[in-house]
Amino acid sequence: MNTVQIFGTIDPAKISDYTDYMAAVNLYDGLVTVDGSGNLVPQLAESWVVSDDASEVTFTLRADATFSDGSKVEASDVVYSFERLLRINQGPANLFAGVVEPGNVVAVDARTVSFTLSKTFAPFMATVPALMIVNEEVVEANLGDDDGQTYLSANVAGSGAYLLDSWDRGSRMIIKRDPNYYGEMPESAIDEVRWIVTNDEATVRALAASGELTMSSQFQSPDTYAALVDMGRFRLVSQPTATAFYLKLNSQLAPTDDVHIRRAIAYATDFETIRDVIFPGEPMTTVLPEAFADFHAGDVEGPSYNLEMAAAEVAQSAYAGQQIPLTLGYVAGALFEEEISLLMQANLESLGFVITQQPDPWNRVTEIASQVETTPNVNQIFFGPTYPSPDSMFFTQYHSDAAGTWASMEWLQDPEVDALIDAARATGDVAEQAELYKQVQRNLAEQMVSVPLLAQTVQHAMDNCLEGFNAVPMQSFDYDFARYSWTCM
Amino acid sequence: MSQQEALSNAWQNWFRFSRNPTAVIGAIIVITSVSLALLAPNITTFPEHVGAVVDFRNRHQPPSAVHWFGTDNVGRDIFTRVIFGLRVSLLLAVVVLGIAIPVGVILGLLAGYFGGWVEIVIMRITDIALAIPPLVMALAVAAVLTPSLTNSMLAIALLWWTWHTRLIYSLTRQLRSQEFVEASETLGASKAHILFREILPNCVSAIAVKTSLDAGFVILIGAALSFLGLGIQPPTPDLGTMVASGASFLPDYWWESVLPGCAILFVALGFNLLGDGLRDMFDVEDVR
Repeated sequence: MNTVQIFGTIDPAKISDYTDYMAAVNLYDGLVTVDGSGNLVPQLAESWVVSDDASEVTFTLRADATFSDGSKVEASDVVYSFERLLRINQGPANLFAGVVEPGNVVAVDARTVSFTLSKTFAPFMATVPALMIVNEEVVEANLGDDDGQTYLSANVAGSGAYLLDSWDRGSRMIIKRDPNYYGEMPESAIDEVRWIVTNDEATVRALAASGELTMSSQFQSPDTYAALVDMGRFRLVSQPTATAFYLKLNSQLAPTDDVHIRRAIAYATDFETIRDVIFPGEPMTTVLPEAFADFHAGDVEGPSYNLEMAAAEVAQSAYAGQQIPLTLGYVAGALFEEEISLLMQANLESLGFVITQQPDPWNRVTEIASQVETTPNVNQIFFGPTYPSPDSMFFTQYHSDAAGTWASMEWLQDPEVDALIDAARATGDVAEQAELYKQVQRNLAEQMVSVPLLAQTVQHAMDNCLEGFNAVPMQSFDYDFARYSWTCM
Repeated sequence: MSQQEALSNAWQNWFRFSRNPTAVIGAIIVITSVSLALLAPNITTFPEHVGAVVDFRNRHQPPSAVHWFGTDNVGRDIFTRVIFGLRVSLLLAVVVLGIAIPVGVILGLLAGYFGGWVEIVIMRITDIALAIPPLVMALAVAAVLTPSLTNSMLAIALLWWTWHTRLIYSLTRQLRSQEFVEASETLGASKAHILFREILPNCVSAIAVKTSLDAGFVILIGAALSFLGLGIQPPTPDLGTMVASGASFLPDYWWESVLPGCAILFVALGFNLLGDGLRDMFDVEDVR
């Protein structure tokens, strides 16, 4: 399989991006994991009980769960993993900070562990899969002076279905199946996974032609997918995801500080061309993808492409009758984003906007997103849930406490939205949560700070013999190869 | 030198030049490129494709009578964009050499003529600057400042003067002890007069050769920079950027990267051939 970014780290206390998680879910197991519908399924824990007021969760570990060195997975390992995560305070630690204090995770007996929450936090259970369990004895034996970070950056001390075979940072990672894995594996499971790091379309095609490639990354161009399918060995597997693609409009910077300008930009967006020609995806009507079926506000009519309406909105704005400068930001090197940006420029120029294109490499996007003045007016951003709860979509992007990151380039500072999101976090009642989230969506549709372009369709070219890909609404849990199988023998 | 002598001298030069096929081809290529770039809006078929035009129904069209070089991933005519892209490349060469040559020549004259600590300071700085590869410097500047064409040009210009300093320095050292320089000194001519009226005119042929050769290199480096994403912002056409974005469609839509690549080759080759020809004509040995 090819992957387009390098693996940053395999330490479960430091993993943060899509690629990191891809390795971690194979090398480590958590208490629970997530399936294709976003439901929690048992992994190391065979069952769990949530107290009535949702402030305490007790997990019971599987009796047969073992680490790859053969020792038993015990409750003390869970406590150790959790405290180590908070001590290092990177990666998934931000999901738990302020929710569970160190010391409030207690090993009741060898197989029982309980988490006591400091406050009611409805999405807590959805964040548990991000906690990967490390082997306390192995880490303690290799502690060094940095909590085992040096050791775990190159070695694995987990209970995952796969073992690290070799890892050459810039170019490849190979993992091999653990024959003594405690959990269930499909029949004819995958024995070895080789990730090759390349984002070059021609290289991917060459790998496919030489027979080295079994599965492509999800980031290839439509032409590459077509070429691979033409080879006969591959089929295209396409699934809708909960990852949304937005135009994020900086609501604090002229001229996008004017709601009419923001609506004009939405009307000037040629949604169909973008979805059909440039980047495949499902239509999206609100900022929440329809994958969150229970929480999606179906009554909101999504934005549409209508240049007359766009001109009318411009006329109503404070900037009417003048040339309006506008900056369009996108990720340099992402060809489809450049195409979308050019399409936007062509439409917006006809409305009297003066466009500046601002391509930036991704690491610079994260930097310019930290200040209102450096954030472009329009930004093309993908955002998917980091844990399977709508809270992940709303808090990170629209709560004023989360401002200043690439996920919140709208710079929305709206007390009403904040209050709704906080209220949804504080209630355990799903129906009430859904109503609150629907209200947020209506509010955001009115303000039009994010133009929802599409819900990403995830695509892979997969060998006809490979089965098991199912999009999961959490990080890259869909690349847990323990779920895949090889159907040709 | 009488007027007649000057004429016959020019005639001799022209004779030598016209007998040198590489020089003539180089000159033709350079003149063609420059005039294409200057006349771009008049000779291209889709001048509006320079701006933000998208025509997704016509994307990835192979070369044809309508689109001589085919169309790119958003349906723009590549021939039009290549011709306009020449403007950026040539502008880059003009700006970089426009900064580098005056700076380099003046420093070279000073170091070569005065010697002593002036020479030590100037030439050691030159050595240091020579040790930094221009491409790496441009990447570093782009990483610190915003990546843009202006910054890349400045970064290249910041290093390019060193070559001219070296060249003029060695020529000045030779000329300094020539009789006509000593004669001027005896007559009490000012330093400025000696530097710019006596020594500099004798360096002109070397500078011309060096400039012509350099133009090709600067265009290549500029293309390399924009290939790496440090070039001009879209939708302005730029040859290096076109090669980079077309490369993702290789080999199926080969024209999107290969033809702009050929254009870079064409211009760079033209300047190199011209420079070689000039060198033969002026009989300057030590310029490379």
